[in-house]
Amino acid sequence: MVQIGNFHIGRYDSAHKPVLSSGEGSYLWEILVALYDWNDTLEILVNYAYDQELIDFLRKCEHLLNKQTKILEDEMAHYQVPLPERPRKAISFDTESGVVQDDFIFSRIFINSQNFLLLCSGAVKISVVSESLRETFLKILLERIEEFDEICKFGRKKGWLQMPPKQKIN
Amino acid sequence: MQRKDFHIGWSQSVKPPEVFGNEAYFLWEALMSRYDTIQLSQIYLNAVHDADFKLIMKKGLMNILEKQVNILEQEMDRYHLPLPNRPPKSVRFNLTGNVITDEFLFRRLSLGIQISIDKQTNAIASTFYNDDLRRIFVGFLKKELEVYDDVCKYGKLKGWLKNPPLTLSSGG
Repeated sequence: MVQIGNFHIGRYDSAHKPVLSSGEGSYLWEILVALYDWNDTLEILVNYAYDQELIDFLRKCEHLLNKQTKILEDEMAHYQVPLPERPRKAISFDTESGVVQDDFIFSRIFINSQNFLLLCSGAVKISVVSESLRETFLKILLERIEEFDEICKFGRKKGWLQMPPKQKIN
Repeated sequence: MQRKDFHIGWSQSVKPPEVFGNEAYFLWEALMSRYDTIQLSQIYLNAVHDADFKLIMKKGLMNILEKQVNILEQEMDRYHLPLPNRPPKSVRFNLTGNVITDEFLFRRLSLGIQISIDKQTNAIASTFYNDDLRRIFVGFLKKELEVYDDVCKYGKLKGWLKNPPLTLSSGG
């Protein structure tokens, strides 16, 4: 019998199937559902965005989203975890410009990015069984941190980032 | 004219570096938790039996923490924030019996790292205005994740890492 990674040659009962913990399976599913949901939200927000730089930024966010979605879908197929329903490919509709402001759209991206950081760090934390899955979650978290950094800088440049209160320290 | 800490012009126009309330809190919190972890690790070291585990705690973890403490103290000093009291340099005592096992200490250690990952992520998510501080917190988190990865592998090797319930793929 020979098995390298997931590739096996030999009697059927000598193959080692990929194993993951219940927590890892649940985080895989949870992050993918969050990504699908965010995909729908981004598609809707793009219709409302007015500022061209914001539209480009939203498209950039979509690019990372699609890349990470593909990685997680492949992982779920590898571990044979049932996949959730996919989001719609595109959502286009007419919007009255100015109803949803660009700064409101930015706030949605910002808050969502903060939540993603917490979700992904939780996934890394519980990944103790599958080394490869921990590596995948880790990569996703680091990419999300980079994206968060860009979001902060973009928001400050545009003046959309809420300034926290200044306090006098004693 | 002033760019960060560098100033050219009349001395009256000098502004000390400013920090927001939440950033000050996360700086202080990061430093306090490192002080606590250093002290806790010193206590644990008295109970560790395994030689390589002792080395990992001493060289691997304590050295990283000490370096990070220096960075945090400098940052707090830069923003004129009051520093908390430092922990003792060493904590030595005699521990008899075999009540505290290496496996138990390993699990305390890995739990501590998991909590720390949460804290660092929170610090990054909340430090959205000060790029320099965020960069420091990101560096800390990256190091923490690296350590966590190594600790998981080491725990597996020693048989100390407990597996949660496993799910096996059903096959086609």
